[in-house]
Amino acid sequence: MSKLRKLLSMVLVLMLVLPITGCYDLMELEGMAFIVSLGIDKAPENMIDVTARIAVPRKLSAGPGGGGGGGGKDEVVGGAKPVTVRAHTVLEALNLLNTSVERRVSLIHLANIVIGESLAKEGVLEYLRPLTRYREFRRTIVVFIAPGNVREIYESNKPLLEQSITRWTESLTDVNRHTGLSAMQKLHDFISSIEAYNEDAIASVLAVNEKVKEQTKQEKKGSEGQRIDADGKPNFNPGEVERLGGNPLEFLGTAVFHQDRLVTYLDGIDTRMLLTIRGELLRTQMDFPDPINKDRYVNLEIKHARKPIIKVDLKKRPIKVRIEESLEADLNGVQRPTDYSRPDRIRLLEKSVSERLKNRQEKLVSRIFHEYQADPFDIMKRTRNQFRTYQDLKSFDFRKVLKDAEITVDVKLNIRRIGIQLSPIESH
Amino acid sequence: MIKTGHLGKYEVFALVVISAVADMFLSVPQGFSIYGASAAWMIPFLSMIFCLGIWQMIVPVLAKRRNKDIMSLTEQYLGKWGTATAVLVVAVMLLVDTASTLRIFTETVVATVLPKTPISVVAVPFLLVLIYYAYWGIEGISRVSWFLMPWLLLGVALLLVLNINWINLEYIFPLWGQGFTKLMWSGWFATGVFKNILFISFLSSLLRQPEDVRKIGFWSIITVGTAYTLVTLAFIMVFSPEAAMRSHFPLYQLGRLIYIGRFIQRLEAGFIFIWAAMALIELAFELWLLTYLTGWVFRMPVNRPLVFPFAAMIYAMSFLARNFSEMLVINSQILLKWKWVIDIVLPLLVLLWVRFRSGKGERDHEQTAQVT
Repeated sequence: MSKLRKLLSMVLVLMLVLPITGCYDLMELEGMAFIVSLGIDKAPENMIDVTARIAVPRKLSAGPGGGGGGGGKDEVVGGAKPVTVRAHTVLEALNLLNTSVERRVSLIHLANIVIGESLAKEGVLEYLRPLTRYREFRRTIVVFIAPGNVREIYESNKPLLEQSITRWTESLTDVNRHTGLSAMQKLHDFISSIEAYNEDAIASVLAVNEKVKEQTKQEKKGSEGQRIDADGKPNFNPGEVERLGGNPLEFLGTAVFHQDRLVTYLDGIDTRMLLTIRGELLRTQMDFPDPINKDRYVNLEIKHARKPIIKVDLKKRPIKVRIEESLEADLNGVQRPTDYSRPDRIRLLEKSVSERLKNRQEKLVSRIFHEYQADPFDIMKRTRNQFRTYQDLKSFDFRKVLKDAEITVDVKLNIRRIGIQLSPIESH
Repeated sequence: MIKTGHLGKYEVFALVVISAVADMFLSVPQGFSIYGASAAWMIPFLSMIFCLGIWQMIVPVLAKRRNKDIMSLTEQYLGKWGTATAVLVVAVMLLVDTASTLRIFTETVVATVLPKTPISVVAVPFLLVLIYYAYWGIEGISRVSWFLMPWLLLGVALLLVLNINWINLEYIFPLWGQGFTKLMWSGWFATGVFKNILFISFLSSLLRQPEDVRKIGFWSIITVGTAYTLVTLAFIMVFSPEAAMRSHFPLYQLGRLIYIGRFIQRLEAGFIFIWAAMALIELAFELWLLTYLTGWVFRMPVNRPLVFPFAAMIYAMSFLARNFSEMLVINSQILLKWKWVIDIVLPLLVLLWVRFRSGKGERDHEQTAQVT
């Protein structure tokens, strides 16, 4: 190899190697401020209030009590205190955030987005569109809807265990899969449901429990002796769970959308019904009235035996929807000493629970279809195979047929196991 | 006559497959979604069927004649000027296609992973590597292709499998998409992505065993068709046809969506290597082929001196479009829609003509022999 050739090869190799370092796009971790949670709320004159929770790794690793100047866990949940700015768009808000945050804000570690109710009612796409185009934004983040003020959600969030918002979001997903009280949706599913024909989006709800918040304030002032109301009953509405202590923020219920607009909320029980119809119910424990002992309850752990079969007759008017569910259950708890290990009693319980599930689901689907012409159940999504061409699908006005759709739900419940005790404990 | 080395069947197979499937990382699946909606996945499948039929028609011409490629066969029956014109038309198409792919590739890199880097800083080193490969010739490119192909295809398969949790079977309905007739036409137009047929026609004389051309063609069409079908299928099942029509980086978007629990996520960076490697092989090969064809037309003894000027032309042409959107429109509305004329119809007509003429010649020869 001649000297010139060697020299040229060296130059070429250098020219090729140097850009590999990617210095143009250098991002020093120490120079970044990672937003882990982003809240968007309505502001006057088509503006928005954007609230950001920024991760502060030093505080996260310091554990409870905070490190170096932190004000303890109460103040540093998931990092720094939330910062709110007013802007026309989210991306402008990120720029404005940097007028008070000394590092470059970035969305690459965003874990969730919280959308305020007032904004969600007017339509969310206007605010999500710019974000989905933005390269730092991922569709794998979780979407929450917040009744009330978004900043209040951030300020009220005092997790019992998690320090990191990313971890907190992942834990919530896991917990809600277990309880079925909230339908956690990733942004990709949320946007896909808005974009696709014959579908509507859902999102989980974050709500502040005012009673618990007040109680926390009272505790700080030193007053004691808080009690649950004497006439208080179990409540599954977002922000209204009858309780004392814990995080003032509740993750319960589901927001239902019509196109990109929020139209209503489902409570925890209806959320379970929604998940059952969608075929997304995992092993979930539910209480049902005891068919033998009035005012007493039995607890079942229910799961799908098979995916629900949904039949929709689009040719008839009104359209007929038939949902066939096959569920399996384990009997977890019976309050009274009734022996539910007897086959006749098991059958009685199965019938009672099936009826109850059927009625609740029929009522729920009818309400959402007739009142809001929305389909969060993915029922009409499953009718896509009834259309021959895409033009037929596009021209079909599915909202119109939802108005008077006739719903029939058929639930087959099989209680397979009765826990680890055969007959009930009795006192003598 | 340009002297090049001989190529093994596996190397040629890998080379033509990678060169044809590399475009699936760019806007081709989006184009299928626009034309086919929920039946977008059927478009490459139908194209595959069409291409297999076409291949059956033209392959006897290539397989029967040792050391002959489409150019030498055409020259024998179509004359010097006719062949030169046809080859130059292909060269121009390659030039436009390479320039368009280079621009889309570099713009995509800037838009997704290197947002602050000037486009020339991405394009120039990339072009230098292309020049390096094209300069050292087809043997090197084909061996690299063979070495990398299993890993690249495995990577793409992994990308699809890791998106399994987002899949919605309902999105492949309505089954006939924009309608059966439109689907058939789209399937025909999309035969343009099966560049492997054209490439094999040019490379057949370089094969060690010319009869291997039949198998290479058959299996490369199957592989390319299957790859495009599966990628488009996954794309529309994950994004919905409505969303797929609006997303021009399908595999990158799928890469970003991977989320299987806390530990398996944010893997798109790994897939960028696969994407870059495929684009590199495709463009290096096309640059080499461009010089090879031009050198052949002008009876040049070597094609190497043409590598630099053609690379400069590709670079300049890639920046003719004012912006990325304009380039995408050119690519989907013109190239994707009309490439089949050059990629499929041209070799089909030429080789059928050769087949007809040679058959007639043989029959005439037999008749003359009987008379005498």
